[in-house]
Amino acid sequence: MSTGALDRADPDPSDPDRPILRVRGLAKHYPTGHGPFRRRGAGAVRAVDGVDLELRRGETLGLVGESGCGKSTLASVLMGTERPSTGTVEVDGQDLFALDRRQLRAVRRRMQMVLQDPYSSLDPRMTIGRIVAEPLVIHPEVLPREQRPGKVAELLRLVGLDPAHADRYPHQLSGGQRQRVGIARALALGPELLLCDEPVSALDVSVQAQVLNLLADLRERLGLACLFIAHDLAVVQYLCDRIAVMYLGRIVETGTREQVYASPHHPYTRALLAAVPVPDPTLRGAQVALLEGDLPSPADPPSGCRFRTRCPQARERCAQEEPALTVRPGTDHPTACHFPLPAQVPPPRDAATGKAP
Amino acid sequence: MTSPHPPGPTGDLLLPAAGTDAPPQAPPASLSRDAWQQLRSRPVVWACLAVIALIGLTAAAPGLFTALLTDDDGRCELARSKLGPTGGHPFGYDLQGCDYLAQVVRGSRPSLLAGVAVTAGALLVSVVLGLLAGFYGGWVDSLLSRATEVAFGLPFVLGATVILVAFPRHGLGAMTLVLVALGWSTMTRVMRSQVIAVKDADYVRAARMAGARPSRLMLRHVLPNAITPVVVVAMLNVGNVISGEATLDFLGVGLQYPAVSWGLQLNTAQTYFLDHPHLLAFPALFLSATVLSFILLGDAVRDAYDPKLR
Amino acid sequence: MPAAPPPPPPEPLLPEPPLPEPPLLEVDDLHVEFRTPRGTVRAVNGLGYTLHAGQTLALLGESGSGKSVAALAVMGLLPTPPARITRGAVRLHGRDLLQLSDAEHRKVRGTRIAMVFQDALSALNPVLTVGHQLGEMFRVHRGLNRREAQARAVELMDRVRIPAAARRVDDYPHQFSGGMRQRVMIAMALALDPEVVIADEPTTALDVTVQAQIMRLLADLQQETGTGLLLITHDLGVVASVADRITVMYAGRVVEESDAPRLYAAPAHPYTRGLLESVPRLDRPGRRLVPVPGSPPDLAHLPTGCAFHPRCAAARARCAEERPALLPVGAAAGERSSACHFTDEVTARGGRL
Repeated sequence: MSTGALDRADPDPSDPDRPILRVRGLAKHYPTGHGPFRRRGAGAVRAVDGVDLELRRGETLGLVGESGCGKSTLASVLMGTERPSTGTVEVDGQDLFALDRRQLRAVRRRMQMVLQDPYSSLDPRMTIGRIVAEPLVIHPEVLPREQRPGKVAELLRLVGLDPAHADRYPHQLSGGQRQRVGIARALALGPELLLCDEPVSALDVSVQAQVLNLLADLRERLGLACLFIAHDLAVVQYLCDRIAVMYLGRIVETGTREQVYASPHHPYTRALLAAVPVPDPTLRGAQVALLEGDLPSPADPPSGCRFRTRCPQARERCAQEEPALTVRPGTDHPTACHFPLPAQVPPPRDAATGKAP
Repeated sequence: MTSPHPPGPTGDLLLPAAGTDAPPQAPPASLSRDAWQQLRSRPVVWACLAVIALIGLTAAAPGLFTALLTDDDGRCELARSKLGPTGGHPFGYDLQGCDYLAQVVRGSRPSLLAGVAVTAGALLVSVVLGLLAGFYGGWVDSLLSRATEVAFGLPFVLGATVILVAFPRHGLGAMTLVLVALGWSTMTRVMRSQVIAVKDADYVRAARMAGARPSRLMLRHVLPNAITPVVVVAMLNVGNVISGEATLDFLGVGLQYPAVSWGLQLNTAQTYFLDHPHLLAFPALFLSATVLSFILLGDAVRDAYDPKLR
Repeated sequence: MPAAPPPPPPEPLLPEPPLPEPPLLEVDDLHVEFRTPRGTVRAVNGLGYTLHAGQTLALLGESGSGKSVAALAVMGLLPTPPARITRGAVRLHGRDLLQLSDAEHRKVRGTRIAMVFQDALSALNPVLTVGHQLGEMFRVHRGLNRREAQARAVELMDRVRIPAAARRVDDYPHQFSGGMRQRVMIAMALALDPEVVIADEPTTALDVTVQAQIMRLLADLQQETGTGLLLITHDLGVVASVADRITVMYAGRVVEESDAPRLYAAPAHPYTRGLLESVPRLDRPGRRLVPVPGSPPDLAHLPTGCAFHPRCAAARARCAEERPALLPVGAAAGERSSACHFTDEVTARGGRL
């Protein structure tokens, strides 16, 4: 298992183990104000501002952050629906934004996305069968036309739906069933990489686990690499091998699940973890330090470290110098913090629940 | 919670399970089905449909009505000029002494043709332009939107009057073209705003990410989901066009004698209606009933599709 | 409707029997239905709960459980039609609010019962300053003049820990972040010192870090003011740290009612257990989730018997035929109850989660 994205040499194109997805220096800036009378020198919203990521075959990477951190913009760029301002996105060694139309279509077949809202992501005027078959219609070279109905039935069975549902319309299904349809559509072209943007946050609590388990099973069975974008750290912990924490357009900490959850080095990661509600009233006394304030505007990010305005440990250096995402002395995974927190021994929550059988 | 998903029967967020999470055995609650349910229960809808069907039938087969309702033999005798209703000739006679019922029935064809043809033409133009402007945005949108605004600024009847006076020899076809040219802007604006609302929907995004070309996105996803409000506006528009066409005929710039139309009949009647009110009453009645039916029907359909008005 | 007897009126929950003082807020056998073209939607089917002064009660349920509809019924804010309250009572200090006229209900609302909505942005008027909207409460209900009302608005904003309140009082809602707007909503609810505050999913639209801030603020304010707090939520995690008692709703009725620690430690209803086992937990990594199968029920077509039986792993023939009553669990009668035919089996297994 890899420990970070930065300390690796360039992948050899013939290396069978090279990453399926590699993002380097990715930035997406939206100019503020628009039209021909845009103020000269007006700023830009730096939604994504220098992100490096690497995802290996069969691996699941969790991208965590609060709303406004840029994770959805990043997803749009990765899916090729928006062009980055700078930086590259390589899928299996091919730069997504250097390809011509035909090549791009071929690459698109290898990466698909599951969207957040199962109510708005299915065309209300198409049957389930047509929705699931649409990627096959768009890419007719994948499967002969007459085999499509069989493939649709197979996909529906794969996601745990009755193939008879193919004739229904989205509004006739429940939220959980709709999200299964969304997953079936994403799997239609047999992708190697699945991007999941908050795939369960719009679902009822009792249904979320169905979809999470389905995603976990499919990933195993199909050997999918997954980029799992979410705000819920508990969900990410459940599904992901590696974690990247994003704050105001930047990755502030990345590492394996065990590294990040057991000993978060960045104060933001620790605050995020502390804020996750745990369904256990016996922990009520353990009042954890909460973050103060709100996310600063990405149009005008703080100087130096972007987290310093909310950081309990901020010092002078944090305002002057932007910390790089590297492994620092006393840490075992990359953190973008000048003063990373030491490993937690023992983590308070494990201590509190450790006694319970 | 703003969901583009068709709202439940009450359009009300207080019914979380009913509208949004109904298991498959529940009766489907699609917007069009609900709209039809609501339309079906309104008598005014049936009344309008009946009037429109009747007028449509007179336009398609005027001979049927003439044969059934009058003793008209098709001959006109100046001796009977302007005579009032009698047995066998319930609407009386016109200026030329022709059976007036036969004339009024024949007048429905140009009115209805103009109304439907102009609206269909304008609908086609506006769907194409609105789709392109809304979907592509940028300079395409700027260009088309400015053009739409200019067209929107031209007055419908006055504009048509000016153009038709400039080209005096015209038939129904030319008039239709002129009215389409003046009448496409409203629907284009509606279509454009609908397309803008729909094109960023998640399902369009999903198809885009699957690699769909713009043509597929527009025709398969955006068009079917954006067109309903435009069709409703078009329905309202039919009534307006019919009255507009009649106005032009009345003013003498539309169809010319020997054509037969309600507007021309009203024009003739204006000189004599004090002494011979039936000349005014019958075409006016037909015209008003037709226009009113289209407008009321359009209103009802709009209400049925707009959950906010329930 | 099956002829199951209505659940016995809840016993007083406080230890000293019998209390002459009626409870602060008591909802009793509440039934709400919606008439729709597709049939009658039974949103609330005999809901009952009791809220005491100084207590935090969590009303827990998924979409379609009727929790929000019930709250609106208490507030007198249900749109009628299409809604209809067919049976039941909502008693504030023993006085039935459902019998009040609109004008009387309006007077109760805001002054004695206040509500915090989920979507603060749409609950605030975008063209008026926050200070104006807060001050309006005092101008309308307390007859204060503009300047006094403005001063009180600043006080309130201080109280809900909005930084630089004196400066921000003239800002418009869109100039506040989501968390700050929710604080404004809470300030507005607290303005007239109500006895009951109903918070309907107050943190659902917020990020985790802000959610934690708001929950802590609500808990702190509840301690300071001693109001009764009714927290409506779908999230077992969010209420664990603040709720004294928890009422779990399913398909418009109560399936379990308990003090918080015991509910989390050993749920007595299969649905509660299902909820607890189906959420990933930071404190229990590596545990395989056990989902609740199926989907939340369609309120227009409720299953017969126990509404949860189609999704219940422990369901037997009896569950489809007979609706279980809400009965006390264990020895301590009145402190804990569950509506399941096989509560004893569930509690016996519930300890190991």
